[in-house]
Amino acid sequence: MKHPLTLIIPLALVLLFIACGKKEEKVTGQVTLTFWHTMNQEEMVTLDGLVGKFMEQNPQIEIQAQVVPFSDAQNKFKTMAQAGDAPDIFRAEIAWTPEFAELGFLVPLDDYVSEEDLGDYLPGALRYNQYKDHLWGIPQVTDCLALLYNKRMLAGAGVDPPATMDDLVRVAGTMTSPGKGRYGFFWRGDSYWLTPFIWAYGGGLIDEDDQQIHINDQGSVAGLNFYIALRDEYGVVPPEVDFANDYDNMLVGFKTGKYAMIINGPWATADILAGEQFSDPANLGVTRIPRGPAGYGSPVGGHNYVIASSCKDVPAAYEFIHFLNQAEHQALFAQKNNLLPTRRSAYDLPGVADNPIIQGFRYQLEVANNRPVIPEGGLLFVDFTPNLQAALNGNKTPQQALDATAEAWEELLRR
Amino acid sequence: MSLLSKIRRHRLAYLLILPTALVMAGIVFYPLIRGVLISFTNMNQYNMGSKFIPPSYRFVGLQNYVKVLTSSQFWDILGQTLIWTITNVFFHFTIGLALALLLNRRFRGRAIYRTLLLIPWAVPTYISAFSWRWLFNSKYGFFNLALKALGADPIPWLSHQVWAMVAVIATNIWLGFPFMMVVLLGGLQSIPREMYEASEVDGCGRIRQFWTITLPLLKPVALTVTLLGIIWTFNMFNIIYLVTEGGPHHQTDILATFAFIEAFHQWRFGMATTYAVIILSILLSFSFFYIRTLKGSEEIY
Amino acid sequence: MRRRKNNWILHLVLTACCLAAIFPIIWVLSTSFKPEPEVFSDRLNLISEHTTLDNYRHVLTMKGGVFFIWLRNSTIIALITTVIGVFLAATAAYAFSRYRFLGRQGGLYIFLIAQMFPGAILVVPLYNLMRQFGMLNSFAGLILAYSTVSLPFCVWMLKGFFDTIPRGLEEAAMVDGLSPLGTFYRIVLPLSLPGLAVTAFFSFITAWNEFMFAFTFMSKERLYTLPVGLRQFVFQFQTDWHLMAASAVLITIPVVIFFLQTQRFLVAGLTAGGVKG
Repeated sequence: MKHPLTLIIPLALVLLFIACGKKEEKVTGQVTLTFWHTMNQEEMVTLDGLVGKFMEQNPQIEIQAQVVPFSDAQNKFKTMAQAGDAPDIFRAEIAWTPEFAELGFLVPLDDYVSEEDLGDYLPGALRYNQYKDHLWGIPQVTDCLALLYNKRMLAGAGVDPPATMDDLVRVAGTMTSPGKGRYGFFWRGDSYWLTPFIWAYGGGLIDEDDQQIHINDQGSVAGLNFYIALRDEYGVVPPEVDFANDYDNMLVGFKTGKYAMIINGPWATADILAGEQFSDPANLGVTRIPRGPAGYGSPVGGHNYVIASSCKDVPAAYEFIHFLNQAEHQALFAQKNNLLPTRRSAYDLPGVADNPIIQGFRYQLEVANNRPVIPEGGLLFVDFTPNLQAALNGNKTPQQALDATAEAWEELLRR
Repeated sequence: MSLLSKIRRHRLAYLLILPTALVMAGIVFYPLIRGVLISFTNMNQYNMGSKFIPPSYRFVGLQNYVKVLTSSQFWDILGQTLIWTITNVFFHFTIGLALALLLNRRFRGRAIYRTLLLIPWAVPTYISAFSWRWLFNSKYGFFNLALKALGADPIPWLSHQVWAMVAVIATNIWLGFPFMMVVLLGGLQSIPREMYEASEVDGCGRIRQFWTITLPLLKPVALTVTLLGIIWTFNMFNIIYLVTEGGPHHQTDILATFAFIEAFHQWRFGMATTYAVIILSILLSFSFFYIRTLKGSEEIY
Repeated sequence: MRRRKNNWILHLVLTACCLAAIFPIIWVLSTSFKPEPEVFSDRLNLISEHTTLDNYRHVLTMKGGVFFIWLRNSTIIALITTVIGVFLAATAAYAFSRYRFLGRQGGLYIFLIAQMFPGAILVVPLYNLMRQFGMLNSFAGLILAYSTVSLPFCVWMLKGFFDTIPRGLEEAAMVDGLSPLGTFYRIVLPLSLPGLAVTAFFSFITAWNEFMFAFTFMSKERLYTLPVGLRQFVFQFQTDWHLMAASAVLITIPVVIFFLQTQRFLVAGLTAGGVKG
């Protein structure tokens, strides 16, 4: 009688021996620092080059770079950090930074960052590192939402990119023909994409100084009303919604000339330029999201380099992130990966200064808004988006939806 | 008979169970008991303590439970959880049983069918979930493109209260039937062929055989796997989380997704474990009832 | 004559079911051969004019072939989990099936309870526990964790299978002078091969596809399992579909091979039914 175990056990043992074969060697007198990030495949190529260059220049420091999936990186870092096992250096999304700082997982970098650097960093990007009177990281990359448009479609309709929200309705209207499935504009059922309208109509999220909630202010409600009116009253966005897939649908529609204008960030431009409408990259226009009665609005996002409190050698770690953040290295990321530099000086370097996409986003950045720098910052949209969806589906009025959001945020701030 | 001698009489039985019991105690029951205790505290990431900050969470009695049970949302979510569980398990079982009966026959190529039918189970969950989200895409998904080709109106699969539930349940049925099928096939294969041969001699037809031999002998396996299926489906959060994220507006959320959201966002373990203990209590009372009802005929025990 | 007609219907039904089972995966398969810009399109084209193996090349060669290290990790962990899971479950299930000992019902119930509590929400305390025992970043820790996930099912399932085996066979063997353990090994196990196969599949797939424990307990890239390593193609706003699809195909192939290799036990049926032993 041949038993299945008689087959599997020897096989497993053999594999176990293979597994225990190798052991890592260590050179004494050297610092080894672990660096975790969430970059994509193309960014990693740029990063690997820089890491190699750094180790060549600093043979006593060994950097072990490792990618972690973005969706799970925050929890992974926290889980390890609470036990004191965190990686020495981490690329943290901007909303995670104050949270990690509040939990005591980060080293303050006030003594490391020079005055010169502080002056060179864009204030909006630097702002996300300042929490409770300390500096907890340095900004690696910044981003914001901007208006992306198909120049050929606008020229064909004889219109200029909209400067105001009223223009948006008019301009989008001229390019909309539902029979052909073509629309002047596209919006998402995601609250992050609603924020430009909230600010443009005089509303707000949370005032971080006095923890006052503004999401159900009159201005915010007006912003949401306008958002919905774009579909229900003016008919310049597609009538149907698909909350789970609208990001992909927006990109496909834009790339195939179905939607003339969308709102998106610099991270999407590489993908867009691969689309049929943009085989000539000059066809892609990037400008400010139209102005509302209360001015411009766009959320600043990005990533910071932070150093864990369990780091064995903070000066060496700072040496490394400072190296990565030098203007010419940021320019490298800008040229190769369309990432927005966080240093003013980097925007003037060749390859960046003449890049119309990056300069378009920079134009938007000048009038972009900071999200509240609070530990709960990353969770604001978790309660906001379902309520936006309820308003878009007609389950709630805009006022009810935003009141419910405010209520959820109060709960959030109470911890 | 004294207790000690009772235990001694079955020494071998205890010895056989010991390794399993030890493994389970460490990794399953420690967190379980801890979890029940945590549900009476206000523990979250800010007060749970770490290597750098001492813990400062405190006992809050039944506060979490009161908060959950008095919220109007809880009862909606419980209703959704029941719809989710019952529909899924019903289809898992019926589809699984039908396919197992077909595959239990001897015919050419059944190994290939068996393997192909197993594929939904073999693909990592997050990849299947993303694929289904694409199938349900209102513009570019397979279903709506097919509807369009047939001249029908597109369906807002993932953005409409009812359709979104249909979509996540369909995804999970697809994901779960192969497991049922394999288990029931294993059960069918264990039924001694002699029993069928004997009944054929007695002149029993196929249908009669199914009721008098197949079903009774499949019962222990079928009842067990149904109970486990109910328990698992009740707690199956990742499909919903990955396909609709509970949307639109929490209308596809179930209790388990709520527990996970509480646990993952700021680690509100006090609230998360409260949901978990409520889930545990519901399932515990259900299983007690289930086993009691079936015990009369000694099917499960 | 009637028989052939029946077979024809049987094949038709099964083919339809197989199509339903694999059609979501067909998209994954077709995407895995597409260049990145063609992944999302408003046309339903399964086969791109620019069919390419680049996605597979990228996944297989990235970072000096780290894919093969993950494949090895996953294989070792899944196989050992399977062996341990089936072994522990078989012994425990036999005790539950054959002996009316004190605490039997309670024991069975406790295995069920283990499944009712969504314990994964407590990964942070679990991380600290594993840390105390020095089981982080070790295969042993992960194998142990997976065993606990699959054990309750395996115990209950195998108990169900053992219950269906007529006791007369064992009694006869005992009369022939076999010890209780000998009876278990020589008579009961061979007769419940289909059940063992089911539990083996379950343990294997549980360990093979699991993400959360592997992600939480393993911090070094070289110790990742396949699902963890390949998840890096999912980003904040976008997913590298072309690479993820290729990795999905690669990750599924070993499971199919495992199943093809072991499924003969699932249908071994009662070839040993005569019990020569």
